[in-house]
Amino acid sequence: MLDVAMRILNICACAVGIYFALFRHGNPDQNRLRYVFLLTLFSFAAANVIALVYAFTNLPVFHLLLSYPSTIIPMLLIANLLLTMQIIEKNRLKNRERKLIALQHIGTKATNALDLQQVSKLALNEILEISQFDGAALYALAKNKDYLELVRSEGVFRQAVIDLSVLPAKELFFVLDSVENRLIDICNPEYRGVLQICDKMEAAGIKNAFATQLVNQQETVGVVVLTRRDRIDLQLDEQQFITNVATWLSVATSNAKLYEGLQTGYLKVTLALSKAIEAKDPYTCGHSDSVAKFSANLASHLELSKSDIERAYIGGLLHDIGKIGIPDAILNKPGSLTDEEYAIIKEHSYKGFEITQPVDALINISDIVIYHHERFDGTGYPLGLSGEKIPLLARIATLADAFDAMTSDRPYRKGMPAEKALAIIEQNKGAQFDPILATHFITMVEDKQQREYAVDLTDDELAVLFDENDENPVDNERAAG
Amino acid sequence: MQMALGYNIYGYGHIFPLILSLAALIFLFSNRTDLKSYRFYIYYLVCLSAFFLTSILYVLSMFNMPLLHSLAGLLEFVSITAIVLVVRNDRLKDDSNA
Repeated sequence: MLDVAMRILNICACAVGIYFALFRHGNPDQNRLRYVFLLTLFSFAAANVIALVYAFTNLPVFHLLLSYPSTIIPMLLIANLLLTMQIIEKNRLKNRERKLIALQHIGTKATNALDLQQVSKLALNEILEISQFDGAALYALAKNKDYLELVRSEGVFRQAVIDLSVLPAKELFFVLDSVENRLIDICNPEYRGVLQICDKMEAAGIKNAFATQLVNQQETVGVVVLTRRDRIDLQLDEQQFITNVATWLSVATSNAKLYEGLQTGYLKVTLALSKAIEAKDPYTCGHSDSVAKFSANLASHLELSKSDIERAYIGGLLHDIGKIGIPDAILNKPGSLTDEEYAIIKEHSYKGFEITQPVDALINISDIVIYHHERFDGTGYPLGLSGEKIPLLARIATLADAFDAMTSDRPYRKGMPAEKALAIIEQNKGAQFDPILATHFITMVEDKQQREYAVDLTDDELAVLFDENDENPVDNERAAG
Repeated sequence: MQMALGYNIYGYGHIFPLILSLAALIFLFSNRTDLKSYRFYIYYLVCLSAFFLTSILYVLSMFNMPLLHSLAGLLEFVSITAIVLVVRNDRLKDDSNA
């Protein structure tokens, strides 16, 4: 009876196994393994059916028959194991290849791109794709080194309603310093008392939080925080991959900081130069700033690239830098200018070009400086270029320069209303201004926000180039006077 | 006596599964450094060990010991359960199995 019961139980167990193998097993591309599993289970079932018959009939021949399926079972089990190992090895190689490709992409981006957002987006998404984590964030150390600022977050971190935009640097580094450049579970009971953020994370349903320091040239530049809502069983190769990504992120963060420092320095030098122009020609006080803002806004309105918008801004700030080379007596002459004096004034665009051309950081705005008095119909100076031969950013600067000159108050006259200035620009489409750009400029300025922008300009706007230009229809009262 | 002879003749067939399962077990042990990282290795070990013992019991049951035949059925259940658990849980989708 016991034998019969055991055989029936075995057949039922085989049936369950066959069901799993048929309907619930793994990926479709593992069919070979599925067939071997099925064959193994059918062999077990066959052996037990024969054993059941033997138990009822007690015929020795069934005892012999029982040995046939039993003979192939050990071979099938080894085949199962080998196939499984083969698939695991294949998956492991595929994963390793994927990780290497991901690291290559991140490395290329980290060394080539200066935008930390771009690099961190790629790196964090690769981590989420390849590892078991469902949330990732990059934090950069603030200048005062007291806290860490969120640079970018992906996955669960993005959706988290809790405020994790700032992390306390001191507490976090106290925990992270205990391990060198390794991924560490920051919310385990050992550190829980130190880090308050774990409670916040737990409230948001995050059960696991790991972090690693970003160290570049022995200086900590930030932290990568990785989270998961469920239990996590972190593999060694996963940790290695994340540590490698963190290394690239530390390079990218350092590069971004260096670039930011350079940009700030560059901007400060540019602002200092624009102040120098204002000091030289008090009439232009605040004008450079306004032209820079109008130019950048028009460039942005035209959906130009970020670098072009930056160029438009810096070009606007320094478009009159050549005035440094114009004698004060002419520049600040209260009355009207003679033809000779006006010819000297016109030299400022070329002088500006000579100043900016040798400076690497300013070379990309030298075309704005030299061409911002060219006219669309070819009657401008210094070269008399026409149409699209005048660089786009220079045509933008021409519009911004003219508009600000017309609308700004001068010591000797009140600035005209924006509507009137826009009407003059409209009249001079195709003559002084690029017609398409002029249309865009009018649309942009008619926007209420832009008008507010114009009203906010400084009070000390003084006459600029147009004031002395006979051929300039927009503001020629000084030259005419 | 006739029955015992019958078992002896027909029971010799079980020597082959016995030898093969022993060979499989040796293979499993000799490659354990490579295989032990696979989390279902232990299931295969249990399955083959139980099957090896089953084969021994089948061979022994040649000597007219029906209880051993029933015990072999019990051990076979252990083997089948181990392999069903592998089939049930082994998704092999990524290297998390490794």
